[in-house]
Amino acid sequence: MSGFASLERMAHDRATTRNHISRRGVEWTAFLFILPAFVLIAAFHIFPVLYAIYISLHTGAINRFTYVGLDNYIRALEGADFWNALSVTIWYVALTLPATLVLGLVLAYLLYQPIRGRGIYRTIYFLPYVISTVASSIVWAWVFDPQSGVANLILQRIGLAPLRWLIEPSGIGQVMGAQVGVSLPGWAQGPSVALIAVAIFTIWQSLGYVTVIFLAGLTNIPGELYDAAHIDGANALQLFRHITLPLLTPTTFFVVVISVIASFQAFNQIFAMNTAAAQTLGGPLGSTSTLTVFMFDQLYTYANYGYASAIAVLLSILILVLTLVNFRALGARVQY
Amino acid sequence: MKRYLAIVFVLALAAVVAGCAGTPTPNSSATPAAPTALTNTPAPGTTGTPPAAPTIGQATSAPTTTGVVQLSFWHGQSQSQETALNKLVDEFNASHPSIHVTATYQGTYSDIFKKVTAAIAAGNPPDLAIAYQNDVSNYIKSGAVIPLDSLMKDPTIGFTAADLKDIYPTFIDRYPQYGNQVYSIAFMRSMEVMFYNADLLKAAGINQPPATWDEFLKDCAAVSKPPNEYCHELSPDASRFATMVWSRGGNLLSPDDKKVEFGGPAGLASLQLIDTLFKNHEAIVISKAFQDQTDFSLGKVAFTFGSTAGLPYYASAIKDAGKVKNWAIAPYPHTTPNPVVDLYGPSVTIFKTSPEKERAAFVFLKWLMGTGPDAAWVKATAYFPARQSTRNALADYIKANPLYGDALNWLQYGRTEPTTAAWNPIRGYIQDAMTAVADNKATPAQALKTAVDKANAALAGQ
Repeated sequence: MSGFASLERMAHDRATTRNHISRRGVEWTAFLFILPAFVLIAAFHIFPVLYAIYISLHTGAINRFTYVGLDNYIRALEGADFWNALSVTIWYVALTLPATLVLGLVLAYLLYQPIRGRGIYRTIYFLPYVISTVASSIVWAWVFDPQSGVANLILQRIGLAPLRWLIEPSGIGQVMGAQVGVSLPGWAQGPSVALIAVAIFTIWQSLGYVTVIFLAGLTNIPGELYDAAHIDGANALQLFRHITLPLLTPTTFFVVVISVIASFQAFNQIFAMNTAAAQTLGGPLGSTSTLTVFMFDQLYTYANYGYASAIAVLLSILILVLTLVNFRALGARVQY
Repeated sequence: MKRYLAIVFVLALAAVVAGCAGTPTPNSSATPAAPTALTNTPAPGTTGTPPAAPTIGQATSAPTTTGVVQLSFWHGQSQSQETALNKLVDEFNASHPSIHVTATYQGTYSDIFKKVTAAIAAGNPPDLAIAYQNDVSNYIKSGAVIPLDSLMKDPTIGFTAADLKDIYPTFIDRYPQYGNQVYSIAFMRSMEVMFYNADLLKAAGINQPPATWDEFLKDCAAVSKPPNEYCHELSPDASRFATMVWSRGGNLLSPDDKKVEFGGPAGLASLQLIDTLFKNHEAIVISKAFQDQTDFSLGKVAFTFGSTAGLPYYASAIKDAGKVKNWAIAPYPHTTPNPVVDLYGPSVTIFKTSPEKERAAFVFLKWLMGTGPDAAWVKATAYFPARQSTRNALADYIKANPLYGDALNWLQYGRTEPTTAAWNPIRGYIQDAMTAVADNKATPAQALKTAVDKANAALAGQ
């Protein structure tokens, strides 16, 4: 069949379909087929979101709500606790996201090389992602034990003073400064040592996932491009810079978008580490209280259902805006 | 034809999905008809209860669907405690043919609160659930639970005057914010006590545990040899602070639960004690759950504060470590004429369902507090009995567990923490204050003021 005949056939099919629909109305069978999925999504995704928005406009106990308009939102935006939680969240994202992405890419690149036992290494790096967060948090609580933990052993071996890790609410700048007799102002004290310990645990846990995604991206890059570049005399760094990185941008874009969302929603790691270190939810003096933790606390400790829902809605808006920014800022640079 | 088959398939699927929400509610017509009057069969060995009334039907372990009130009971007892509780429930079901209780483990007490909250929202709560008193306050706000005062006074199934004299008052929870009514009753309680290493005290020339806080500080100075041996390992917790405040004659909240009172001299002195211990390098703070218990068993600390529920775990850890030969428990040091102990633990609350179910639930709860079940539960869990008379049934147990017997003597000095829902977050503020002082992040006065301000705000928001 010639190209022209093919186009003619497609045009005929479309016209037939239009006539079919116009004659018999909408194909209701198609809607019936998607109905089960729609019912499930509506019941477990759409309804909870709408209900959360509804509750966020109310106050009071379960089944005895009173409408308060935007009061819960105003309370959140005017309250120091919300901004403190947002600040902790941003520190947490800043500590975990770049490190996970860079280390994940480096590891994926190394594991992509034809080395002996590659499969075993890949399994080892992916294992933390599939191990129970609660189980691994207990092990990491031992690692960060101030008295007998491995983390302090390493610090002492390299000549640094031990830290209190998960039970230290002070900023890392303040703690380090105190070791050399320097007192830093509040803004320069940085995230709490406890938050850094949780971030290290999170990086360890999520590294395997990011590595596997990058590995999948690497395998999609055609080998001929590397062969051609080799013939043209490109060295390893040039191969990485001019072939790997540009052709990996779709994967990098995906990983960045997913990781930003996951970081802002992080809860399990913080909850598990706080519990393992015998701390209240939010860590020592609230120093690991991210927005999700703060929201959970408001919901189950304070039973402030409306306020907790308002925080959830605000967090969703924040994540939505950041995702749109990601699409705008990075989407155009993706090379498909 | 294919299209009709597809339609039938899709509709069937939709029906299955919709069917997920088809569970009958407590008031649905699917609920089995309850008998018009429930009778109360006393538990074996129960004292002070009316003579055994005839029960409806024959005893059977298999539930029937007609003429039997079906009760769901959500609890948080796992492993050996769950086995013991199920045994009691089976015993109850066998002796009460007109009622059938189904006990279901629902996770930790915190998990139960989450599940009950969701169940209330769904209009399908259990008939009875174990809950901390502050969680019960939240259920009261939702109108989901019933006051038990009228059931307690009911001439057929209620408590007699002898019962009420026999039951420790600290096992019956009153809610000052809700007309001082009873909304929950406990069948188990633990006690906050001081664990002490008699070997370390003896090595420092001390022959008995400190009776006052001044003696405690003196003993601490004598036994501390940092970094190997410390006087105390602090596990910051509001129940510890509560006992410290009470043992100095202070109060936590006003009688109506509307104002903070722990901000007075007793509260300040309690935080100052922590401050002194840490400034003198006589105390350390825990870095992992139960670290204080571990270090105590290794002979690293002379004093820890904790629950009597931990007695079996302390004994086991000490035996395994083999470092401590002589140890015991005592009430907290005190300046009050008598010692004061914090009695805590969850209670059982009854949800608003139907009058028959509510009565049946109370019959079960009262039965659990009978001397027989009470003693069986103590032996399985090391919790304290609800009745004074249960002690007679525990002679062998006390002989085998003398430390438990000691603690049983202090039950008369028991006090309980506030029942208001605001006490939940306030516990966190108090723990933060203790941590801030121990970490030298705030002076005792600053930490106390922060906690008091936040606590008053939480109480005002109730």
